Amino acid sequence: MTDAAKKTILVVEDEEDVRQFLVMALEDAGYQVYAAEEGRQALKFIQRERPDLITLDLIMPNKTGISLYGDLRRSTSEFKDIPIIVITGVDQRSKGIISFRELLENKKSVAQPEAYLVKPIRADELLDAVRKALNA
Amino acid sequence: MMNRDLTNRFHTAVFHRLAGNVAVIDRDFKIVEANQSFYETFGDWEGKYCYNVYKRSNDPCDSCVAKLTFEDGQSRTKEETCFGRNGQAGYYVVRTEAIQDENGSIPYVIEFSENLTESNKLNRAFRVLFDRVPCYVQVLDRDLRVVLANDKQRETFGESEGKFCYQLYKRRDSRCYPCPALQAFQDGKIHSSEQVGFTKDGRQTVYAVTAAPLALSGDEIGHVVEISMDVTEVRSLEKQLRRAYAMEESLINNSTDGIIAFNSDFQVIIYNPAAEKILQYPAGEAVSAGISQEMLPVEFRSVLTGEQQSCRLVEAELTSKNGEKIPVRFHGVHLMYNDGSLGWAVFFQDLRPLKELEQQKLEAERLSAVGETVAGLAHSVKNVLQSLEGGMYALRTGLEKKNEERMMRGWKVVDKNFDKVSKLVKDFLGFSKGRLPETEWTQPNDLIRDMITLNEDAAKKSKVELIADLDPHLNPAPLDPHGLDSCLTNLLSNAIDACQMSEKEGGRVVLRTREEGDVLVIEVSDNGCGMDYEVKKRVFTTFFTTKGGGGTGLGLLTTRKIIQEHGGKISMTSEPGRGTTFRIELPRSRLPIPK
Repeated sequence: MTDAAKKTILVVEDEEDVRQFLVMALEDAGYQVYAAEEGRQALKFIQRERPDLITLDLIMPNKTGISLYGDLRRSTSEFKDIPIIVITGVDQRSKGIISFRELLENKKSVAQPEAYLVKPIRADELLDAVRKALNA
Repeated sequence: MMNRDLTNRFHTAVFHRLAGNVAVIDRDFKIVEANQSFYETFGDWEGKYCYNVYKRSNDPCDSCVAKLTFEDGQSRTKEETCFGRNGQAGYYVVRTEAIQDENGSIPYVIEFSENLTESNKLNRAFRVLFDRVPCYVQVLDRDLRVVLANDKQRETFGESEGKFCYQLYKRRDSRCYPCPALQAFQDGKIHSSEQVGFTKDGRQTVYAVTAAPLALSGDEIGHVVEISMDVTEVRSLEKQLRRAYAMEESLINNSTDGIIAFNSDFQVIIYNPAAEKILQYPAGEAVSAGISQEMLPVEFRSVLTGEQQSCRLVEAELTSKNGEKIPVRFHGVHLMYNDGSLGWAVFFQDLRPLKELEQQKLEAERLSAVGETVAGLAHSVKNVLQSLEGGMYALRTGLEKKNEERMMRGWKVVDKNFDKVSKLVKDFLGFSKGRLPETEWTQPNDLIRDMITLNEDAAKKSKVELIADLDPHLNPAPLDPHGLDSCLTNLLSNAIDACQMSEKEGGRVVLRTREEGDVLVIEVSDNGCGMDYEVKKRVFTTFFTTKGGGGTGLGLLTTRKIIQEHGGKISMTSEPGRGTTFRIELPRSRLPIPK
């Protein structure tokens, strides 16, 4: 767990209980964890602190995860190399995921997320994905 | 034999009682004898000359017929203007007769005079009538030559006297057949026909001719009088009328709306093919049986009784031959001409295809709402499950680490999310109950008043004022009172929450009802926190809630579903910091009719 100790992770999630769980699980694994409740708050943090990894919910008030993802992965973005793990409750057929898929398909320059996790997820699934993304 | 004295008295009496004026003058034109009538007409005559009396003149007249009679003994007649005893001029016809003595000389002349003023007037009146009558009048002789024509005839056809009628009217050289004048000459009866001729300026005219014989002497008909009337305009109007009628008939027959017209005895005058198709009564049957009032909507009776001139119903029912109730859009009118009644006409559009489409659309809307809801539900459920997973993780790791604080935190999350899942399931069951609203005639204003009474205390606690702005003329509507109550309660509780979330004081919620044409409108407005774009966009689309753990995000969806089941729609306007208005529109024509 010593390798994790230096890494900072930003958790972006509007649902409080879920956010607390993610923070807790990642902290238990030894990461330095920060949390944001919605997209705008998250963007400010990223610009200030540049985390090593982001977990991102897609559907949130104010600025959605989809919109934030688009901004971060834009070709001109200085943050496009930060690994992002999408953690979402949206079904594959739902409007939310369709617009996320469209974002990826229409803008070829926008890279796929390092992982796409569908809720509910267990702590070890999360940690697996995080480790893979950070080691890649 | 009478004795001489008696004879004299007899002659004197006859002379005086003669109706005409009689005077006897001598060769100096002095009146020597006159009868009573003469005296009454011209006044005192004794010792006067005839020109004194007739002409009020002191000199004999230049053209005196009496003078000529004195000369040759011939009787003469002349028209004179004479003056009566009261000085009034008049037309008189004067006849002179010589009285010869035994030598053959003429010592006296008798003058008979008669006032012609009256008959002259008649004559002139006749002439005026002849000339001014608004038809062409002409008298033809046996050769069909015009011997007399009135002014109107001459104006139109030119100078005609002496010409043959076929030359004049038809511009031809020989007689034409059938000729009403010739027929009249032959059988002495009146004949009529329609002829085409030309006016003096070459315009073709159609005129109706009546020829009547003028039998002046015995059986021999010397002349025929022809009276003609220009019917060109009438014929052209007739033609137009026929065209208009044909057009009207084809419009009626090709209309997709049913059209029935009937007179005041309910006899059917018009029954078009569309009416036949909708009502299933064959045209012959409907026309012969007449219209029974039971077939027509009750509302139309006020038109039949004359209370109203027309009756327009967005939706009504007609009963077809096989007893089926046909939903129609209905318009019935009292047909009037000037002030009289021509009967009634009803127009109706078959609403069955439209209803079917509407039903399909409603179903599609409902299904799409359900689909969105299910997708949203999945999202919600997954979040709850994720939270439960989080709670379990905290519990498990708390146990492992013997960290009581972490265990408690985990337990609380599990507990809270268990409640949340229960509420979610309950709401979802309420939402997914696919059923038609059970409508009954409901006064929306009452519904709102009751709701205000119920929520007033809770609102007061939240320092929110509830205001009713109700349309006093609102009509009852077929609504599902429980469904609508839950809609309004939901909107009201949202509005109160929005006021509480606002930092401003003086929270206010207005419940408003309005009748906008055919649409029943209910609005719930608050002056609370309002919504920004992202929230607005998602208000009706997913299991979305801004209330954190307090809401399931199903409230507005349920509200929308109930409104959609009523055939209505719900919309929203909102501005951050200023407030939100939810507007429910229920078109009355789409409201389900109570069973």
